[in-house]
Amino acid sequence: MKLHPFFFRQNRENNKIFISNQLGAWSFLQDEADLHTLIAAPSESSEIDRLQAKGFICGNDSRDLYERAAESKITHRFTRLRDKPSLIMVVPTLRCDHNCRYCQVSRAPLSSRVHDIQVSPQVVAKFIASAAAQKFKLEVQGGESLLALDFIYSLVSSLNKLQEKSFEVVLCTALGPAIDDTFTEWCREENVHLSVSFDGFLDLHSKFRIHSKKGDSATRFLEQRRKLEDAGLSENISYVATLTKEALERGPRAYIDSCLSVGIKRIYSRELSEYGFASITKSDLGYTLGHYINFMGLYLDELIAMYNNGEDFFDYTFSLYLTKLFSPDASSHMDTMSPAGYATSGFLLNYDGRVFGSDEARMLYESTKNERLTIGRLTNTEFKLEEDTFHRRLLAESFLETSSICSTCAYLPFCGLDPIATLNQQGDLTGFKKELSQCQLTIGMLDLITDRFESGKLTQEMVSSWT
Amino acid sequence: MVDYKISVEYTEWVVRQACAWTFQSADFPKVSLEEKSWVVSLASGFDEATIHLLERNLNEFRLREIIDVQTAGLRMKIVTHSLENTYKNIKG
Repeated sequence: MKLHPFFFRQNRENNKIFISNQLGAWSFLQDEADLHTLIAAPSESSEIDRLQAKGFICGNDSRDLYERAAESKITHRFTRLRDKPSLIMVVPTLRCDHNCRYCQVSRAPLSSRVHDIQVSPQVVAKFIASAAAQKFKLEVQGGESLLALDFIYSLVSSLNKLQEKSFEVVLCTALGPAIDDTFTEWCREENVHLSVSFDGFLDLHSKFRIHSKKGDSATRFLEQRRKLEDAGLSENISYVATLTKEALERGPRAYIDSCLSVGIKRIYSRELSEYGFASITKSDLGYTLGHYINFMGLYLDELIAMYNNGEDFFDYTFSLYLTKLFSPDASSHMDTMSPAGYATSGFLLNYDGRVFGSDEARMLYESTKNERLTIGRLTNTEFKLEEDTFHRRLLAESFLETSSICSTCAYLPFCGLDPIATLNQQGDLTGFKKELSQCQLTIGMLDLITDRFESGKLTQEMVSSWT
Repeated sequence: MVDYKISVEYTEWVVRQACAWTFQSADFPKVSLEEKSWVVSLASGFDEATIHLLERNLNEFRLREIIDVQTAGLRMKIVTHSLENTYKNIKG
């Protein structure tokens, strides 16, 4: 028996040894003694068939097959760099009618006259058509996207007229602005998807998402959602929650019950951001990553118990990690790719015509005004590309396989980096990656999930259902 | 400065990797080589938990080094070839 290269780490949840390899296969060894046996005398390992099937060891023939397979897999992933971006984010306005304490985009006041896009929708459509992949997602962000509906209608209409590429439309909204029949008909005609901010608990939603004019934001959310549902758009709505310290303290069961009480069975929950106003209010509203990961462990256990009881509820946050672990090649989440999806899987056109390599890059720009973050500028007459050395270096530093810190990590085959997070948290492009919150979060979440799978609590059936 | 000595049987790669996974960047030790040992020096000294973690990391990185030797550096060879292939693919 011959050994193939592999990674290992002791899982913090169960103390067993997690092993993985460059094929993206993974397994558990029971203890350190098993690890030593695998390294020193592979033929004496228990469960040889399983280890061989997953590519950790081979017969006494050459290692060529493993080498070719791993090389092909990694080359395929790296070569994604030559593809055109498939996530196109547009910020038609930075104005917002909510004043969220944890706003990550540094929203502008509703009354502002300088935070709406000046480039015509026709020019934006041509720019997107030239830069995007054949099939792409148009994600309209803000500010509050519904404050710029005329622009959005024209943009989608212009893209349709160009008939060059197929695309789906997602509007990110907190549902503050008025919703009329024109809007709901348009959503139905274009099959527009609405990614709606809702923080799980009605009282916390009201407390932290303060509506500028229309009173209680949770009441507003429920009223507006009713209009969408009455217009037959229930299937087009998804929910995004930002978790504060108070939400975590109430625990996952209360969180789930609260979501179910307002008819939500699917939600995407995320931790407090490191950008914008959130970077200031985090000390007040935030928590440690350990606290968050502990909550997520209890949350996952609740989801597993609910699945076993036939209750329908799920959080897409877990899908991100499950997809990474069980189908590493299928994951297209641009914040968790190696090399990064920055400017290659997606880009963002800002209200001021600036083009950024990711949503996080524009968030960082709003609070720093550092022009190096700008990839280019679109005006009604031209698109001017900025000097690109900085952006090339950002991408170069995101190859985790060549990072001295990451290259031996057992979660490397399932990991990826948002290079702007490194810049934001540590002030340089290379960074000390093990201290990045993204690194600690990924390790914590993968420890949780692999532990539940190893113990048999999380089943293949659940994984198939949730990814 | 408080010194912690590590046998020179550990390679520099193992010692530096173990330190990287043991210490915070804000409190990173000085690592130097004496005749018979690596010397890790830290102004604030070493508590028991830190020494335990450092020794654990030394053992783990030693094992990773053994895996690399046993597999003839195949892990990095695969990455290098993948980068070369990618460069060729992108340049057309």
